[in-house]
Amino acid sequence: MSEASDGQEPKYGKFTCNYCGYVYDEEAGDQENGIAPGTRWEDLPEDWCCPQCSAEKDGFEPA
Amino acid sequence: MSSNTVDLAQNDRGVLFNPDEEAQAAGWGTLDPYPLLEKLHDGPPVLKGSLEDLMGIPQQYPTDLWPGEVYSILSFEAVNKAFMDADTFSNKVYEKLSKPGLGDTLLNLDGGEHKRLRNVSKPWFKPSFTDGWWTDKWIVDAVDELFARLTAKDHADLNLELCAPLPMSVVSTGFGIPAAEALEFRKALLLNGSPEEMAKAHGLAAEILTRLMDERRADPKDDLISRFVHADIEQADGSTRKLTADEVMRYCFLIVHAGGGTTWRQLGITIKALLDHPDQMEALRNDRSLMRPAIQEVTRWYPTDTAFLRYVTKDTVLEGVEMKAGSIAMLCLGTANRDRKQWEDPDTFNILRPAKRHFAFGAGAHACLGQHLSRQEMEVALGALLDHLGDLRWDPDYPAARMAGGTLIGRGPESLHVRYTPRG
Repeated sequence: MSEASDGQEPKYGKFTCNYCGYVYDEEAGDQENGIAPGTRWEDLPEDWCCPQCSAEKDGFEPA
Repeated sequence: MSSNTVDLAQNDRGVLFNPDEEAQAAGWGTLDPYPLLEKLHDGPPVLKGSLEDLMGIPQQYPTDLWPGEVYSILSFEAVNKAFMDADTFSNKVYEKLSKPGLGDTLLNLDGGEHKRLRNVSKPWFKPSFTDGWWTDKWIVDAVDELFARLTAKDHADLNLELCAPLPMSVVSTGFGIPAAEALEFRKALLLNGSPEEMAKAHGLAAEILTRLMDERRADPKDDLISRFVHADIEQADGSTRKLTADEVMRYCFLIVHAGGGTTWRQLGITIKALLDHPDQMEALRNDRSLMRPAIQEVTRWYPTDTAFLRYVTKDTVLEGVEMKAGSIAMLCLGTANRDRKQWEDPDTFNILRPAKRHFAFGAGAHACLGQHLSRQEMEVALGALLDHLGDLRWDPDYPAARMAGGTLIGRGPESLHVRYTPRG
């Protein structure tokens, strides 16, 4: 994830599950599991896991 | 002390745990798929026609149960798109494949119904739970017991003495089915016979589970049946209720059915691949950080299932090919996992290649629920193999091990006769 340096809103990042291909989009969040749009990857709760295959955060990498 | 494992060398296993015998019982051809898939790599990513027709082999999947056209989805990108679009490429196909035997399960349900049912058990199959509860409570004990038998001698058929009993024992005992009843339960679930014989066998499995559910309702234990009978499931309106006895039973049938079969074959494929590539087995022995990459690589290179089916719910276009609603899509893992655009020299087994996502455990909303448990079982078993079976090599008194099983479903070695120097 990169942040703009010219005062614009920071860009949102995407993170792909290495096991099932689910993409966590910071802009969209994961509303079905209580994660609000705009939630940064680092702000996801520790017990959050892939909505599809249950992989935890260390099973993801930046898209 | 009661046993945590099934001793298949001492029990009548019927046709179970020999991939060719299982395939023949199901009426499937058993040719190796990879030479037959070779010609498809340089063609279009999606082709009209069944995989069997394209490969020139007799039909294996009963795609003629549906009146629509059949398409083969071949490339990594095309297979990925189909897996990730579960609304269009639906698991409704299992209405005719698994539902007649197993009833409504995660396999045939879609959308919210599938998600709510899957959410019940998701916490029990996440990596931290498989690394913890499953490993500490079930996998290590089962592996220790199996290796105590193996290290009492200097030769074995690792197919029957490790690969088959480990996952069957772990999944069954973790669920709450005593090891002494695990083989009987599995045989009842997998019986191929007349409708009367199958109904009788399923009745036997249901009888075992009903007894266990009743016991766990009254006296919960630290096992999955206890978790299931006390679990809440969310309903469409947001309210919750307990799972019904029938829902618990179907969940159990699916997990025991799937969990005992795929890991057995995939662990066997892994051991065969390492024995056929002794330099890579030595690299893994000396650097255990290669364990996860090795498992990722072997599941890419030779997944036990070569293809999955999906039902096309609406008119769509995939990689430029139009498909009508009602068509059947055959997603070919055998070609997608060896896509020349994704991997260098993809036909070669190489545990040192950069790890990359593939489709051995499916992908998308229906990705294998038990994939993290399966990897963990293989990891613990392979670690013990490298620790306790020194100078591991093929047994020269037996023919070379070969891959067997259905061409598109359930492949794995038919035996793994080895010699070794036991280490305590």
